[in-house]
Parts: sequence; structure tokens; C-alpha cells
Amino acid sequence: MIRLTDVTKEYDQAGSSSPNLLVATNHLSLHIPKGEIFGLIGPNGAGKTTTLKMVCGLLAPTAGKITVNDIDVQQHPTGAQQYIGYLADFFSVYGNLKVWEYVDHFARCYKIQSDLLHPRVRHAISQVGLDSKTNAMVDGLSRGMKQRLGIARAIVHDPPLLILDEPASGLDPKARVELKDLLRQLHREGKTIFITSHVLSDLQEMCTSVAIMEKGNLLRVGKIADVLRSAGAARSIHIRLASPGFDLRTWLHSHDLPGAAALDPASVEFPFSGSDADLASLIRELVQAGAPVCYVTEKSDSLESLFSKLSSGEVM
Amino acid sequence: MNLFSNPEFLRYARTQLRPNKVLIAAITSAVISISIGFVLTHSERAIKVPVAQTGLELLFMVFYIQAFVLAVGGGIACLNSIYSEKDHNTFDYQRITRLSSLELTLGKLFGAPLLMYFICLCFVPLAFYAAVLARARVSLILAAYLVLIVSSLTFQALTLLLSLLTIKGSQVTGVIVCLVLFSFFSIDPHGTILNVSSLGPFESAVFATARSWLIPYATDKSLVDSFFGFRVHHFLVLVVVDLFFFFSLLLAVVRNIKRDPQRYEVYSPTQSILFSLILNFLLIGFFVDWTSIIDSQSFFLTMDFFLFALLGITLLHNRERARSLLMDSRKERLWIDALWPAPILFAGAFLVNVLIVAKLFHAFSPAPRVALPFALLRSLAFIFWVVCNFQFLQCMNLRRGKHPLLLGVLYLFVYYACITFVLSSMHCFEIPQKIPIGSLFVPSAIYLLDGPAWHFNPSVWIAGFVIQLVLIALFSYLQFRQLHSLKSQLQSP
Repeated sequence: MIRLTDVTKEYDQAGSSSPNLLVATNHLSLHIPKGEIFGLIGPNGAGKTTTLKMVCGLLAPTAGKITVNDIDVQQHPTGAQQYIGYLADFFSVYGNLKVWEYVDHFARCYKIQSDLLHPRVRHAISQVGLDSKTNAMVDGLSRGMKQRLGIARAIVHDPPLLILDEPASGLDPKARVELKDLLRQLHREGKTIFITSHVLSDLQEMCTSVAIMEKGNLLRVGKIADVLRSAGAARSIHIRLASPGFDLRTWLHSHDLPGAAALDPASVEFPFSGSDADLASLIRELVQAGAPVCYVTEKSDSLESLFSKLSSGEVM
Repeated sequence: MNLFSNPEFLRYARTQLRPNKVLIAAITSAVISISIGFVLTHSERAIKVPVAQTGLELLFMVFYIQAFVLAVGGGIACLNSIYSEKDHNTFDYQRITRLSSLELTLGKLFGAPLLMYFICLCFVPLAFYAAVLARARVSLILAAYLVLIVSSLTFQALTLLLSLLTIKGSQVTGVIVCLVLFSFFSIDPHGTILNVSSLGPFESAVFATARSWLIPYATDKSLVDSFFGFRVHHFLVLVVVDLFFFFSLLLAVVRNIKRDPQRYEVYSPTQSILFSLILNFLLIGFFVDWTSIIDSQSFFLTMDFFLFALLGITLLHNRERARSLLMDSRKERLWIDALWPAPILFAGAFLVNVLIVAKLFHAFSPAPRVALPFALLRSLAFIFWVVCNFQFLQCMNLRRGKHPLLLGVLYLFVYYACITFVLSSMHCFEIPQKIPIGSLFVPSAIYLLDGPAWHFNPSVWIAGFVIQLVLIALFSYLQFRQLHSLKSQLQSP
């Protein structure tokens, strides 16, 4: 869906006389297949917003090539942009329009056929749950509602690709949960979503793949599990028995799994480096050995901890 | 897509023509109309003069009000249109839609001043009443409205372009520039240097109150212009010239409105050259002060100085654009890049000067034999000065810093202001023997280059030319170094 090939974007730091350039993206290459929810992670100034704007054709890269749906964004921006729904990183709406007028304006800007115009506007408003506010003035909406309205604007032309820059910023917890649900729903409908966020736990919950950026460089990219594994992130298994009495630690030790820590008489946690199939086999053997297993869960490093390790140089 | 289905136009219509706004505008305009109408038709003076005369005065005033509303109110609305979008970050959303550049531009151009058009419409009943009182000709009233709309649109296109090109915070500068240009278009230079009347929207009042279309019967001298010696009705001149400016400005907005702001390019090099040629053609056509070759040429060179100053700045590359060109270029072509924008400016100034010199020799035929080489020399010196100054500005524009170009312009301004004071105090522009010395430092001295001035000290004149060439080479070399340093940074990620 999106392909970035050796994309570089350089700025001058305003007012700076230092010889260093501000490299927003440094020879960035990235491929985002159709149907992904792809998260772009990085601290402020990592180059996330610049990357998104370049994909949208709003900024021209200093060098490199970007394609959306196999269309070169630099060569044919309008052709590529018809596949994109874009939401910028802060609330930006026309306050002096009504909700339906706002969505209708952009539906017309996207040249939706006149017979489909009103149904599409109604559908977009309904999808983001603003039916009750259709005739309200945009200025009177809460931040969460304005953000939903922004998403309605981005999806009104039914683009296969959504590019969302920090859609959750400034939202309260309830609005964030609603936003996540909305994005999951859009993903189920077949949309590819390219998203940035500072709330890494949200991204971990939603995304199928992630890329981690810092100072314009791509540190890691891939499926979340792969990214965590490639960074040597520890995977630990937590097992709880229905009743104490079975010596879990000894049993695990006899199966070459030392280092298990007893959390209480009936549960242990131990590091596990095998595959998912190995884990299934282990649990089966444990049950066959007579252990009254009632709970098994996998605990892995979060994106947050991985990111802090990467950015501090602990893992490279 | 017609204008009324243009989404941007519709958006402005929805926000500006809401019933409460429309009602307030209509009531206010009605109150003003009634007051003006009453005062003018019931004053002591009105009782003494014929009704038709009162009608004409009222008509003149109504058209002035309408011109003010459309030009100033509409201009400010256009000036704010893109600024506010950039401020609210909504401009990116418009750039990413399927609206073409032309549709977006037209939507903004006609949509942003929509309320002003409505207010203008509210004054039409008063204009109609005044026209009936004055027994004005319907065709002239229609012509006046056409002039009003075309001139206002031109001014609004200019403010829209300023809104697009200038950065946040420079709104005040934009307004000042607009007002200066506006006053320029409103000045009536008729009969002194250019044989053409004002080209601004206020001229509509003159048409509305004219008594006849026919040139020999024109009561007002300003209704007749002279173009290459032919008498032309000012209506035709105004519409054609304003439409030329309107389409030139529209082209500039359309070319850039959906571009990355770091890569704005007002006109392509070819368009810049064409624009300067057409403008010079118009200037030559309307010029009347053919008293001497040297004075006439000085006028054209001074006008072209301003023209090339504007066009030259639009041609300059900033660091972002230079980087992109360096990244794109496969070959080692730094020396060619380092000469930018000299070839374009040279070609433009050369063609313009060919036009000027040709016209001078046609106007002063048979001219003295020595006049042609000196006219050519003055043109050549002008071209060198233009190229040299812009090589310097291009060099400055590639420097790191917050406003390198502004700094470059400031340096030039300070240099020329100071050196002019010094040379004036030494009477370098008055004493023939000292004129060549002035040519070493300021371009205005070359306006005084003629046979006697040359013979006083030809070696100094030649030195002036050589210095310009050396400076062009120096600034190109400095530019080469800047580009080389940029390229080195690009190659070492």
C-alpha cells in the first residue's frame, strides 16, 4: 500500500549557525502492506510527522521515492491522494460550519458523485458516532468530538488508506477507548491504517506492525512480536495451579527450564525462549504430569520498555 | 465544475451568507444608502443645481463606496484567506483533496470576499436611483460595473498571492504592500510620462458619470489613452491591462497553491521573461515623454529595475530547493547550478533591452550615429548590474540562517544608500569628469553614460564593466562553494 524507498528529508534548524543539518528522515525505506495497522513510534522530533506528510504529498522529500498504491506521490500527487484519508496532529476544523456542512464540504472536495454525496456524509457522521450532533456548530464540540469529526472528514471519501498523526493526543481516557474501537472497526472494514502515537500501549494493542524511529533513523520495523523478539526482549510465562501441591519449579528444572520464580505456592514465572509450538507442548506435558493448571499467560516486554531500551542505546 | 458548485466557494457562502450576517449587512447598507441619498438630494446646494448634476455626484459617490468595499474589504478578505487556513492547519486538508489548483484558487478568490460582494450589491439600488436622476447611459453604467469587478478581482488576486507567499506574522507587511500598490494604481499619471489613466477600481466612477462613449465627445480627457500614438478608449485599455494582470496573478497562485511551501516558484523562467516583455511592451506603448534618448531609456531602465527586482526574487533558490536539485541531479553540474539565476536574468534583461533600444531608435529616427552604441552600452551595464546583484542575493539565500535573503536585501540597501550619499556629497552625479567614478559603485550612474561622459575617462567606464563581471564570477564561485558544501552533507548521511 505504501512504499518508501531511501527517503531523506533535511531541514535547516531555524536561526542555527551550527554546521549540522536537521535530518527529519535519513534514507528511510519502509513497506506497509494492505490491511495493516502500522504504528510509527518515536519521540518528539523523530521525523514521524514529516514522514506522514511526505506520504500524503504535503511535503516533498529531499531525496527518495514514495508510492501509495503503486502511484508515485511526487509525480502524481492528486492520483495518490485520492487513496488517502489524513488527520493532522492537532485539532483543525472550520468552527463556523455545522457538523454536516463540514463533512459535506470535504465530500465535495473529494468529488464524490452527487447522488452518493448525502448518503456518504450521513454514513461518515454515523460511523464516528456524531449523529446527534449533525446540526451542531463545530465550534461547540468537545475535543474528542472534534477529533471524531476529523476522522469523519478523513473517511468520507472511503479511502483504503488512513494516515493518522497522533489521533489520541489531547483526548480523555474514555475518548481514547472510543477512538481505538473506531479504528479497529475501520480496520475490520478493510482499511490500511498508518498511525503515530505517543501512547505506546494503545499502539501495542491496535497495531499489527510497528516501526521505531529516532532522529530520522529507523531503528526497528516489523510485526510487533518480531520487533520485540529481534531486540532480545525477554518472554516469560506465568503458570498458576488450581491448588498447591505440585512442585512446579522442580518439574520445570527437569525440563531444562531453570530460573523459575515462585510467585506464591501455586504459581511460578519463568523465562521461555522457545516457539509457540514448544510452549503448547510444554503445557500439554505439564497437564499429563498431573499438574492442575488453571491459568497460563505470556508476559513479554512492552513496546514502551523496548523503546526506552532502544533510545538509551541498551539494545541496538 | 462551475463556480456555484465549487466546494470552497460553497463553504464561504455557507459561513459568510448566514441569515443573521446577511440581514445585518443589508440593514447597515440600506441605512448608509438612505442617509447619503437624502443628504445629497436635499442639501442646499442640491436645490440650486440641476437634478441631473446631483444624480451624477451621487452616482460618483456610490461607485467610490462600492470600489472601496470590493477592493479594500475584498482584498483584506483574500489576504486573510490562506493565512488563517495555515494558522488553523486546515490548508493541508485542502491541499490533499481532489480539488485542482485552479478550482481551489477560484473558490478562494471568489468565495473569500463574498460578503463584500453582497454589501456591494446592497448599494446597487442607490446607484440605480442616482443613474435615473442623472439620466446616465445604461451601457456606461454596465461598463462601470465591469471595470469595478475586473479591477477589484485583479487587486484581490494580488492579495491572495501575497497571502500564499508571505509567512505568518508578515500580514502587516502584506497590507502595506497592497496599499502602496493600490495607491499606485489609483494615481492618475495621465499626460506626463505615460499616456494612460488610472487602472484601479475607482476608475469605475468615471465611466458611470461619463456622458458619451465616443472619444471625440468624451467630456473627460481621462477616457482617452494613447497607445503607440493611437487614441484608444480608456475602457478598452483598462479591461485589457487589468485582465493581463489578473491572469498573471491567477497563474502565480494556481502554480503554487498546492505545492510544498518550501518549493514555491511564482513563475517558471519562461513565464517570467514573457511577463517582463509584455509589461515593457505596455510601458513603451503608453510612454509619451520622448524628449531625449538618454532620459527615455533611463525611465525604462528604472521601471525595469523594479520589475527585475520582483521577478529576480521569485527566481532565487532557497537551501531546500537547492538540496533537492542537487539530490536529483545525476551528473556533476555544480558549476552550472552556481550560475543560477544569471542565465535567466541575462536572457530576460537582454530581450527587454532589445525591445527598448529598438523603440528608442524608431522614436528618435534618424538618431545620431553615436547614440546607438551608447544606448546599447547603458543596456549592457544595466544587465550586468541586475545579474551581479542577484548572484549576490542567490549566494546569500543559500546561507544558513533565519532570514538570509532578507539580510542580503538589507545589505544591498545599506550599501547603495550609503554609497549614494557619499557620491552625491562628492558631486559625482553632476560633474561630468566624476560621472565614470560613480559607475564603479552604483547602477544609477550608467544612466548618465553618453558620448561626453565616456570621453572624459573611458578607462574608468571599462573598469566599471570589468568590476561587475569580476563580482558576478566571485558570487558564482561563492555559490559554488555553498552548493559543494550542501552536496557533501547530502552524500554523508
